Amino acid sequence: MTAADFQALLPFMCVAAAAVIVMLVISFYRNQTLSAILTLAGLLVALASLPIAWSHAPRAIPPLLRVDSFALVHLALLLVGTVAVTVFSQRYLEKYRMERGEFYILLLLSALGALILAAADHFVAFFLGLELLSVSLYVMVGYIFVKEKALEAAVKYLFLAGLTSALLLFGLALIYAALGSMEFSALAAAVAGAPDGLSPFLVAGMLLVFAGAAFKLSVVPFHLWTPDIYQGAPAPVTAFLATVSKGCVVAVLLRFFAPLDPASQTGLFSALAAVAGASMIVGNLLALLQDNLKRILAYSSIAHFGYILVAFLAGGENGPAAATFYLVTYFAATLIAFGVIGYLSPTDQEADTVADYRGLFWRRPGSAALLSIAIFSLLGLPLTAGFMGKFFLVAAGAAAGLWPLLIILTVSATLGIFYYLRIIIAMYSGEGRKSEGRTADAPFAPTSATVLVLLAVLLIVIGIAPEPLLAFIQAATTLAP
Amino acid sequence: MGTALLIAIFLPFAALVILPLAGRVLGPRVGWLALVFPVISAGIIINLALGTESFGQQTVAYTWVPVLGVELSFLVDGLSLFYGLVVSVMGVLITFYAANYLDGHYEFHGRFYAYLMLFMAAMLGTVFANHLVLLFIFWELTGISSFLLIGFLHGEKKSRYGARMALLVTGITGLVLMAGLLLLGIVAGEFSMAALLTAPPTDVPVGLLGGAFLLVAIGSFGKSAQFPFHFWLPNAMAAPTPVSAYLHSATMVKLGVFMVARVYPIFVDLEWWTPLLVAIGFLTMALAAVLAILSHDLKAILAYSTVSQLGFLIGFYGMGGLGGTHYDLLHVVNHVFFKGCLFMVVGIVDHATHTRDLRQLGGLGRRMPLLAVIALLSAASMAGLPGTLGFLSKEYMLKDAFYFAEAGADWRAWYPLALIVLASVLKVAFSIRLFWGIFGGAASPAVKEHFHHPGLLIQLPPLLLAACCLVFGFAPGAIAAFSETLAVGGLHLPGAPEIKLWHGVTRELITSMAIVAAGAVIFALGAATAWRWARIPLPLQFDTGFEAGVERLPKAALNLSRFLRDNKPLDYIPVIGLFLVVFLGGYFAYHWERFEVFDDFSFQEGFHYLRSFVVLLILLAVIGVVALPRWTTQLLSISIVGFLVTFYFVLFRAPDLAMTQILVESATLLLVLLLLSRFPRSAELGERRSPFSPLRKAVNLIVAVGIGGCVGLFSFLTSRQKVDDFAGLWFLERTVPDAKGTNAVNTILVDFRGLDTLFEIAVLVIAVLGAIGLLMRYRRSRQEYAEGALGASGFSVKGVRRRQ
Repeated sequence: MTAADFQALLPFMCVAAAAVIVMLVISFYRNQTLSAILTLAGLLVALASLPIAWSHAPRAIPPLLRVDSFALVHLALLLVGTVAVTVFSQRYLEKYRMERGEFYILLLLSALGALILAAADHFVAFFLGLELLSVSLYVMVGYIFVKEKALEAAVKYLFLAGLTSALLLFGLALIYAALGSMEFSALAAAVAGAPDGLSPFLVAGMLLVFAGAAFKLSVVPFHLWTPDIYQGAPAPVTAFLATVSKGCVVAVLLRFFAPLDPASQTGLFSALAAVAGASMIVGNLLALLQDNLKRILAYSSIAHFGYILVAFLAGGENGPAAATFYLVTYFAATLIAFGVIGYLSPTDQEADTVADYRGLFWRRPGSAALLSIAIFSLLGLPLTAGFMGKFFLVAAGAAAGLWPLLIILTVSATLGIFYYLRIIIAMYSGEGRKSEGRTADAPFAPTSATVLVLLAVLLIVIGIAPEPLLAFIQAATTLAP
Repeated sequence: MGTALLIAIFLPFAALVILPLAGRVLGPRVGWLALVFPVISAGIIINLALGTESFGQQTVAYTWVPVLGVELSFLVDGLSLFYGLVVSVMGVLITFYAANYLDGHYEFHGRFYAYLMLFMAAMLGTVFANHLVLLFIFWELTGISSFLLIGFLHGEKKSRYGARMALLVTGITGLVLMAGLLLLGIVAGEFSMAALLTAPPTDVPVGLLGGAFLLVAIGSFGKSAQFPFHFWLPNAMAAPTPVSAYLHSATMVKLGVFMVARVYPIFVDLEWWTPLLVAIGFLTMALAAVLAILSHDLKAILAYSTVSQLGFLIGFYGMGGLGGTHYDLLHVVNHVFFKGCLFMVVGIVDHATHTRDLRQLGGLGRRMPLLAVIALLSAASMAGLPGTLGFLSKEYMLKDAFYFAEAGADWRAWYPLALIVLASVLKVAFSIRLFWGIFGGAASPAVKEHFHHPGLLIQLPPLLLAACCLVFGFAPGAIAAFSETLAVGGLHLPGAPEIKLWHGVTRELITSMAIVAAGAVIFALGAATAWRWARIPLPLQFDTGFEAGVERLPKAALNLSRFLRDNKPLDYIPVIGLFLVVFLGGYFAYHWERFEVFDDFSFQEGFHYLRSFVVLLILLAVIGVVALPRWTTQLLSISIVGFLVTFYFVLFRAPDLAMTQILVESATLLLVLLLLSRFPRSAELGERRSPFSPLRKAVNLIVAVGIGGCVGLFSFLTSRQKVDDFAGLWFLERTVPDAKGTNAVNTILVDFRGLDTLFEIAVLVIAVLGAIGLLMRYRRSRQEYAEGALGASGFSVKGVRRRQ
């Protein structure tokens, strides 16, 4: 390894070092706030090191990782997401009197797994990254172990994630059997070398790999865990699950499937299209039933990743860019939503039913405004980032001629109006200033308030002037097949 | 021109920030401050209109999102200027009216005017937008701001329902419109409205263009409350009256009409243009007129009559396919004048008497003579009595319908005329009823009880509009000149026939007079029976049906969720397994010959007695796991499987694998035994009260066997793949030349993978330090110490007791 390799790997090493440092510090001095500060510092240094890594991109660190502009854009996104989760966690854990720092080790390790996935160029990196991400998450989901719901969620997540990890591993083994190599580039070579058709083992393996990834993305039929785990996990962990742990999988899938041409792999891609279509329909329809905000967001996330799969299937020049841009908008909105939920939750129980939010505007106008912006963006209202994301996505899909999926997207997205509107109406209804719902009264910590407001501003700014970010992402995320 | 237009459109957005803040200080008086915004916009647009020439077209473009090809571009031509004028000038009048209307009884004035300005900006953006995507964005923004305005009195359930219904209908049809606009843009390869209008797409597939038209038409029908979406408009009347007057008569609901006029040159040659627009438009016109005569609430009557008029306008453009259009602006402007005026009058009446029910009103003529005159003029224009603008509108309406009927091939061409006559008769009837019901007769008890006098200022805007009805009715030349100036290429034809007040005794005049007479008769009949029969029958209550549908949607979703085994944790794994078996098994079944299953396969070659015996034992143990009743025995069976696998590895001479396997097996067995022994008895027995049904057992069996079969099959097939490139071979080859060592394992550890070894050692050190961290508890508090080893201290959580 050369010095340039090390510089390209700086973001990873910062996060890994932060995890080790937090662990060592905990050995001698236990303090939740200190751990949070160290974590935050590590993440920020990692973010600051991105330009250094950028100057060496694209750089393959053989054989495991590939640090290129695509990876770095996703790294930035994942790091920002983790920063937000760290900030939200600090006050949340304090509220539950979980004043121990171990949570942050798990968070950092999980984030490291996500970073590795975003830059993975090899099956080993793929699997290691995914497991590092998942194993830490099992514990994080059940971290507030005094809550039975959290424990239940952790157990469910463990079982299902274990099962799908096995599938993924089996898929990787099949691909290895077909290719004799574990590098992603071998796949591209195989595709280029076999224009008349890929080895059936390869295709079956890809299907299984997709199944393993689909579990993390919680798309149909691997979505069943989502609502239960979203609801049971602590709000900051749900935020992490909903954003970072899904975003990195999108990144690795984009890279993994980039060499394949949808036109020649009709069987595989029609299976993926079926998954995408079913996710949009099921996610949006089942969200209608929910009275619980976290469950609504869970089902809507199923639909959102169905949308992202449309961009993924579109491929080509704009597919990866559209998926990445959509991820940015989805990250910001989702982080706000769960950040606010975490803050408004009183200690005894999470404030997560729609009834809890009745008349929120009259009690806490700031929180209600933040949540409204997030929900408007998730709904894809014009002049919010979500609209631009959906528009770019539809444009990419239209360019690829995915008409049936686009029709499903448009029709099912309209269902979003029903369930998102319920939350909005609940927040603004109520008789004057009388408090009705059950939410905490504690004011926001300045750090969280800053993060939340910045994210909300981002949503609006992207919604009005998406050009700089869009052009940047489009330039950075072209994946050479 | 560009900057001025941008100011006109975007300045009102500033009101979003300014007015709510100012509202806290100024209270109800903030309305006068809000007046600044529409005055500026109106001034700019009037100035632009004065500078425009007939059939002129100008665009103003700024880059916005070039990556997506979206521009901030605006189209200034006759049509956009006309609607821009309507929106901004009505904006001035409505704000003036609202400043008088919204008194201290209301709350949050600042927010109200902010929403109103947001709406005005969105409307101006929509009518001036040139880029199709920009058009859609502003279009949806009008829907959102109207949602906020309708739901402004959110304390009332009616407001919330009305707002929700309006948003759902216009929002969903808005998305349909977006699909249509995108399709149009993609098919034509052009997203600029100006370019599409000057050179309508010709050599494109008619099917796609027709599809785009259908989608755009549905979007327009939704916004303009055409059948079958007509029901939302009356429910939107829960809004404060200035909002109804502005949004739901003068401006927003005209957007559908605007859109049809806008895309007229693009789609008019389509076969479907005339049948679709004529059928829906005139059906809506007649249906809404019937509903209006069956209603008693003043605003409901006005709402239905608006729907009726919008239906006429849509149908009018539909008929235009035959002879080009003239005087569409006359019809629109006439409606803006009289309907805006009537809404304002109704608002004043509501304000003065606290009721809007015609059956409880009456005798206000002597108490409010000025208002009575205003109402008389505007109602006369609605009825189309000679001397008003409405009369002219009706003349030309009938003229076009006659022309259409004569030019048509068969009896179907008479459909518009028949429905126009029907609707007009009813319109005359409810116009008279409206006026007489409020102002005529003796004062009703409700009036006597509540009446208080309205101010003079609030009556100024309706007075102005009523005067316009009269003045332009007598001086049609002004309207003609106005139409001529604002003519648009493709939509209007040059050299429109002159508008005259008196054409001699023509069939139009005779029909018109007959309509008035018939309307008067219907009114007389209604008055004689005190309108007791007037009630909207259930099949026509589309809003009730819509609400029921909205409420039923969750039920459908519930059924789906049951079907998908959602929220049934026990089924999660079987569901995933089932899909997997279907996908993988299906793939294998479909492509089985490509797997070369039976190529050079010989059973004898791979056969081995001892291995086969072990496999048999493993199978037995697996059956034991499924069949044995107690968890201890099941656990033992599982570990037997594990140990037999170890043995299997040994038979393949893989001692390292066997070693690992045996360690893992022993450790997991011990751990699970330890854990389970500490579980409460209920866990041992299982939480499940009822055993699985036979069907369920069968499904489970199929899934289990399926997964096992798939995995086994694929493993077997892959093991027959010949891979000649082992990573190990490379190391064996290079160990002597590169690392100068003969033991490949040693050279891999210290040479080829030296850094990895270093990191491994580092990981070990870190793990040790981590373990120290785990073992070194922080000092327990006295209380925690007292709680003992089984208490909270075991988890080192302060103050949280374990639940018993």
